[in-house]
Amino acid sequence: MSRTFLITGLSVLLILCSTGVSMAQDEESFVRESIISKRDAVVLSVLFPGLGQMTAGQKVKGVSLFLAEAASLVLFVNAHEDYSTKVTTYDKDIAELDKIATIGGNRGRYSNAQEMFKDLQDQKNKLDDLNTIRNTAIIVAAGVYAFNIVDAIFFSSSTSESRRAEKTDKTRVNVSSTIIDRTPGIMLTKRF
Amino acid sequence: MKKMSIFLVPIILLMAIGYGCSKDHEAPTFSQYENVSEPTDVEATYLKDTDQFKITWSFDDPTDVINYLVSWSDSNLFDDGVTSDQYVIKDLQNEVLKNEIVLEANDVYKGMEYFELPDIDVFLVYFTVAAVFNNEDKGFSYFIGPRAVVDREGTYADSTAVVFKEEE
Repeated sequence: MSRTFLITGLSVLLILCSTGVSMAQDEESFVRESIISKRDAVVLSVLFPGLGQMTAGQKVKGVSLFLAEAASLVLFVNAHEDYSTKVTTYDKDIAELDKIATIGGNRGRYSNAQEMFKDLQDQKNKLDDLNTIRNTAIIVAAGVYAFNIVDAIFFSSSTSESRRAEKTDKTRVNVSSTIIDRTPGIMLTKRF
Repeated sequence: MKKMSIFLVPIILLMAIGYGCSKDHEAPTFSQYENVSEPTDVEATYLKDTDQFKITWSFDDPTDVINYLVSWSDSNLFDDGVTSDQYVIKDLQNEVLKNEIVLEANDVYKGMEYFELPDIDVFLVYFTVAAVFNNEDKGFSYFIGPRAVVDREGTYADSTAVVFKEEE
């Protein structure tokens, strides 16, 4: 349930984000694009890695961070859910293993205990693997998050703002009325 | 300070999740069953004259043993075959638990669902013996211990029957 909710949430976030990027690109190609302040970029980056970078114009870095964070979170949630399910069965089986000796009525057998112990060892190996995947995924997610925040605070906005300002100057189109050959008209001026 | 808190809060959050996930599962232990011993010197003999099987064994410390369970199968991979078993129960009057059992060959075959023996020279029967432990203090309630297989075996290829050591 929670996995479905998270995956849906991440998908919606991804769609919104990509829509935002394409809208920004569309706007840029016509007249102007909105300038995002450094503070807003940081806030967006805090909300989810890559958002601040994307809106600040560093699309490749933003999308990379976003995808890296989303992928590691999905991997984490998947492994965690799997681990939680399997660890419940594992704990139950450990309790069962202890009960075999006292089950009574000649139903508890050494061979059953041996078989269950082997099965538990296999289960433990699988749980170890899942735990490793889970912890690696969360460490990667934390790393990406930390890098994203550091990048948003210290590097992204200053460079992006200057580049954006430069771009804005280049892309700005001035509209003015004029008379050419005694005919009134509209003049569009663009600086290169 | 504000930047630092913005930076630190999510990191602490992720670290808390990481710490929660680092709680490891315990490894399974087999210690309860490690000291459960099995019968030794198990020997199966075919008594040709009476068409019976005699199975004998020894047991080092039968203090917690209440019964023995003799099982047989038609496969050397014991549980993969058709199996049957019979208990050797303590004689309540004399408080004696014998270390042997004599089984009618026909009962053994029928136990393995052979109501008619196959037309072959050698028919193998695989016997095992296990002790049944009962000691509440040690945590055992009619627990069937490890199976001991026959140490010595011979083949009897004379007629429709049977295997293992023929009594001389």
